[in-house]
Order: sequence, then structure tokens, then C-alpha cells
Amino acid sequence: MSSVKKDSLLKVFSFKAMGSPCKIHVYLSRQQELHVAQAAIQLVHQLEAKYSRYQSTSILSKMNKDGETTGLDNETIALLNYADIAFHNSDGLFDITTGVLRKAWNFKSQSIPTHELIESLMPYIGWQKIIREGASIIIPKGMQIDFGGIVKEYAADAVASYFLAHNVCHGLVDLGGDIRAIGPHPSGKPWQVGIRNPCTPKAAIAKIELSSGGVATSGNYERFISVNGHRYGHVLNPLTGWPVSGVSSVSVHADTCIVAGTASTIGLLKGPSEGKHWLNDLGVEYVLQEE
Amino acid sequence: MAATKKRTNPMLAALTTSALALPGLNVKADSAPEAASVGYRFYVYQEGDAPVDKLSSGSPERYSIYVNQFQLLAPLNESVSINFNYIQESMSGASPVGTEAGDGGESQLIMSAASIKESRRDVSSTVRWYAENGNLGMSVGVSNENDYDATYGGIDVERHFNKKNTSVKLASSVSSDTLSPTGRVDEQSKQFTQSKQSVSMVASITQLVSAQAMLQTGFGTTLLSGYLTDPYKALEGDVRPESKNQYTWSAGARIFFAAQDAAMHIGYRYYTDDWNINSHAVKLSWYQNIKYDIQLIPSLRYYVQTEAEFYDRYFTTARSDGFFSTDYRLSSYGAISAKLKYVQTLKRFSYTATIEWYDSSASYSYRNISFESPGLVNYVMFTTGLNFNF
Amino acid sequence: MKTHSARFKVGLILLLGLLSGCVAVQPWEREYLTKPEMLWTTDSMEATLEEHVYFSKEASSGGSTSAGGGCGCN
Repeated sequence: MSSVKKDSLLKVFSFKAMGSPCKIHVYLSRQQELHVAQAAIQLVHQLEAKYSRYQSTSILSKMNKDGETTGLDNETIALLNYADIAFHNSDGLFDITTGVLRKAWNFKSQSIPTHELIESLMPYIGWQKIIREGASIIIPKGMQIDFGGIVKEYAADAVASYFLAHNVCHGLVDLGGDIRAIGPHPSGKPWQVGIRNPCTPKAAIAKIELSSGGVATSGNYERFISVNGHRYGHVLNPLTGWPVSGVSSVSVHADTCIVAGTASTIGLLKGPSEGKHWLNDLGVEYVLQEE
Repeated sequence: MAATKKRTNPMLAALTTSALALPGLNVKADSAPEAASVGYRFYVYQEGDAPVDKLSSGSPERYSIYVNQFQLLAPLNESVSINFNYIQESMSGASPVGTEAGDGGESQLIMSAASIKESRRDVSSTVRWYAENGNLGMSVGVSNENDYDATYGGIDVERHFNKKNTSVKLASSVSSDTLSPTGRVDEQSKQFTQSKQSVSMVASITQLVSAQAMLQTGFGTTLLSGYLTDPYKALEGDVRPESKNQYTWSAGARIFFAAQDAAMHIGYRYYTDDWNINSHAVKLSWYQNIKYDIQLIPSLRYYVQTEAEFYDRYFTTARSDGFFSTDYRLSSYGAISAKLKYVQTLKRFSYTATIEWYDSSASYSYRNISFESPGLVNYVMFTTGLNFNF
Repeated sequence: MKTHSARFKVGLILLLGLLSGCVAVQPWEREYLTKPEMLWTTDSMEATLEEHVYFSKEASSGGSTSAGGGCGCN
């Protein structure tokens, strides 16, 4: 791109959605584009209302409550398909049925659950137990699905796509750390995305230059239980029911934020050495911080 | 920081493919217009007088045409739009009938009487469906004059490829026309009636070549059959074949100049047919944005054609194939047209004003033409109009 | 700024490279290409009438993708 578009101003829209502070940085040049930005923010709220597990009216809550649902909409089917692909490409580590373990793990308390409790919940975990056919899904009793690791990232991608579809080409979407570039600054310069160190959150330890695609981070440091000097992070392995250790955070840059999010989660779950190996194989740019 | 170069890992490919299937990630390539719009244009078309010194009969006052044109474009839903077009033309003046030999062997123009008063109404509608990666349009229309009726329809399909870097478009249209020239009767003293048909096909491909430029090229063909003679010229001597196969090759470019905030349009069309006519048309336009609400668009068009096999300025002996015409439109000539358009946008309105000068002459051809038809047309056209977006 | 002939050469090469599936312009680079003045037909109403006038005054026609009826234009 050559010269900067005349009168194109960087606007920042801050709002709260999906339990996180969100920011959209975007260059707008015309009055009508303000409406585009407002509609884009609305899009995030709509996705939250549709897929939040905290809202009993959401499609997700209904699916979990009813067990059997038919006539799913295309977007939900596509998200379930995505979850299925992610599950099968991670040897079962990326599993949207893991949320049941929250019954055992309370990261506000400073005690760990008993092995018996974990074992009693394990039969209710496992994406392969979900029965799907076309627009129908059956969630066996006691099981739950959760789009927590997918929808916020997807929303960042959807917002960027929405702007591009309306000819707004320069901006950055940040939904609580799930980041997606609409396009570089009008000058062609990339956005600088800082990767923070969990111990010194003010200072960035690495920078990813972002002109396109998304960056997502999975961290094991925000919440944890400390017992006898052993740290139990909040990221749980669906195969064991226990927190993973060794990696404090993984940030991944991929073509889309949703894929970056999935890759960072899998990288974290695999642990330091296997995680690095897997991410190298995947061929994405990443920053992995060991504990 | 461990950074690796991207390569296609099957896992990444699988994740990316299923991510791109999510509706929110699909920047909809094609969608129906978001709001309805209406447009109105009023045209004044005035031809220059025929040269009095070369006039053998009839009136030198050539055509004046006033045209009212309306368009309504409305989205029916997210993926379907419909438009209606209405054109009403009122014509008056004299038109060239043909040419004949003058006393000194020069060609003299035969004009009709000035009393021609005609009107034409053209109503058409197009429905367009927009899909993820293309669109499909279907249109029908009728054009009525007291001596000429046409019914036409068409279908076109556009498909985008390669992340919308490449688009392919196919279009086909047909027209069925009926001629019933005023005052002409057949052997049974009934209204003389003839018909003709045409079938057209165009295939074109568009390619984005940079952030500022795109190119298009296309091939087209039109096959005409039926009564292709001009019924008003036939009495003075005009007989044309009952079929005509036309072929075109066109190429165009759109280039954006960011520093000037302007777009340049370049268009070229080569035409050839089996009446032995071929032509070149080149058009150049410059869309200059001025501030945010004004656009000034100067255009130049150059056109040159060769004469039909059976054209001559007059005939002293009959042609062996029996075809002949002295219609200036079938002669060799060149034409230059200059146009200036002004567009002013004011909130939901946009106002346009255009003036076009069209001048044709044998001397504009790059070929050496010995005899210019005295019937060649020059005209000025003024356009003014409004568009409103709901 | 590149010269036009260079642009055309680049364009021709890219046209030839079409079948290889190369992606020339990314979606976020289409700010200029999607401007209304870059459309192939910028004013469909005036284009329809212009085509009709040329059709009725010149021997050749065609090349555009729109359907239209003939006329008894003399």
C-alpha cells in the first residue's frame, strides 16, 4: 500500500464482553464507518449471548440442559465441527467437554480434590462420547460442552472479517488478549503485539509483529492452587483430570485467531518439550514460557 | 522466541480449513446491496444539422431526443436484489435515408421529412442472487415503439476464485424483435411485418494485479438472423443479408492513483463481423475525487470502423450478391467523443450532470478514406440526474 | 510510481499465472480496489443509455454483458 489515506483517524473502542476487557483499534475515514464499528461490537455481544455458559438463555446452555438438540444452526454446527477437528488433531487433548472438572477443581480455595472425586467425573469427559449427526447433537447425561476456548477467538476473527467486508482494512481487534489484525497500519507498518511475562506483567518479553492473522495466548498462571509448595495451574488435562505443569504460557500467531487459540492450548497441554516439538511441527510462530 | 517459517502441516491445514468454514470468518464476497436506491436521469440528445450543400431531398434538421430514465434497486433479503428500469424516449426530426449520386458524381444525402415523431418505452427488470463466491442475474425486458417491438432476456453468472483475486463471468442474452414500418404494406395491403432474432454470449475474466490495479478481458459473440435491412431505407434501396455473426474481444483496466485520489479506466474493444465490418473502440476515463463529495470525470473515446462489404455511397450497377446499402452507419469513418461528468454527493443524494460531444468524420479514421458519407452524425448530449439511497 | 507499461507487464504475467492459484492481493489490501470509482460499471443507468446510443449510431456493438433489445432507431 502506498500513501496514507487522507483523514483516516485511529479510533479505539473499549468495551467489556465475554468476561474480558476488549479493545478495537481501527482507522476510520468516513462517518458511516462508525456504524460499522458499532455493528462489529454488537457482533461480539451477540456471540456472547449465543454461546455463554453463564447465560441460561444461550444456545449452549440449552444444549447442555436438554441433552438432545435438533435443528442446530449453521454457525453452531461449524463450531462443533471445528471442535471435532481440534480434538482429533490433538490426540484428545483439546476437548470442549473438560468443563465438568470444574465441579472438582475450585481455584478459589487452596485445597486440591481427592483422586476419587476426579475419577468419579472422568466418565463424563470425552468428546468422542458426544453423538452428532448433521444438525443434531446428543450430550449424554452428566456431560457438558463449553465453547470457552473457541468462541472468544472466533469472535475476534469474525469482527476482523466484518470490518474487511465493509472495506475497513486497517485495525486490530483485542478481545481479552485474543488478538486478530484486520490489517496493518495505513502506512503498512505492522501492529506490535507484546507477549508478557507472567511474573512481571508490565514488561513484554517478546513482540510479535502482526499485519494479518491472529495471536492467542493460553496461560496457566492466572489462577492456581498452591499446596505444600506445589503449584496446581488451572489448565486441566482432559485425559487425566489433573492440571498440567511445566508451561506457564504459550502464545501462537496463526492465520486466524481461533486456530492460534487452539494451537496455544494444545501446546500448553502437551508440556514444555513435547509442546515445543508439536508447535514446531505445526509451523506456526510461537512464544512458549516454561514455569 | 522460537519462530519457524510457515509450511503446510496437515494438522494446521485441517484446523484452518474448518476455521474458514465458520460463517463469521467468511468475508462475504458478494452480497445484495444493503439499502434500496432510486435513480432518475433526464437526457437531451441533439444531432447537428445535415450539410445543406450535400442535401438532395428532405429536411436537414436531424434528430432531437428527450429521454426520461428511472431505476429502482432494492434488496429483497441478504442475498437477493431486484431492479426495475424504465426508459421513455421522445424523438423528433429527420433521419438519413441513404445517399445517391449528385450531378457531379459526388454523393448527395437523402433525408426523410422532418415530421417524424416517435416514442419508445423500454421496461426491464433484473433479479440477482448473491452467493458466497459469486452471483447470478436474470433479466427480462420489452421495448416498444409504434413500428418496432423487442422482447429480450438474459442470464449471467459470475464466480470468484482464488480468494476473489480472479473472477469469471459468463453472460448470455436473447432478443426477439418485430418490425412493422409505418405506411408500408405487403402484397395483400396488410401491414408489412418482419422479425429478427439475436443471441449473444460473453465470457470474461477479471484479475486483481496489485492493491491498485485490476484487469479484465473478454470474448463475445452475437448472432443475428431475420430481417436485418432497415425498412425505411429499403424503399430507396437497402438490402442486407438475413444473418450477421458478430465477434468481439475486449480488454480493460482499472488503476487507482492514491497520491491523486483518482481512478483511471481504460477500455478497448475489437469488433469483427461477417459483413466485413471491423472496428476498434478505445475509451479512457479519469475519475478525480475532489474533497469527499465531488467527482469530476473526463472521458475520451475513439472509434474507427471499416465499411460493410455491400456498402457504397451510391450504386450504378447491381452487386452480384444482390445486397446493397448506402446507410452511413455501414460506411468507413472514425468518431471522437469527449465527455465530462460531474457528481456531487450530499448525504443520501447524489447529483450528476454530464455533457458529451460526439463527432464522426472520415478524416478521424487512421485509414485513408476517399469518400466520406454525408450522413455521418454529430451530436451533443446533456444528462442530469439524481440518485437517492434509502 | 511504476510506469504503465511495467504495470501491464506485471498484469500479463499474473494473468498467465492464474492457473497456478497464486494469491496476488490480500483482502486487507483491497481498500482502493473496492472503491466505487473502481467498479467496471460505475453508473449503470448512464452506461445503459450510452450503449444504446452507440448501438444505434455505429455498425458495431457488443462486448458488454448486459442484455438489451434492438430498436427501430433510424
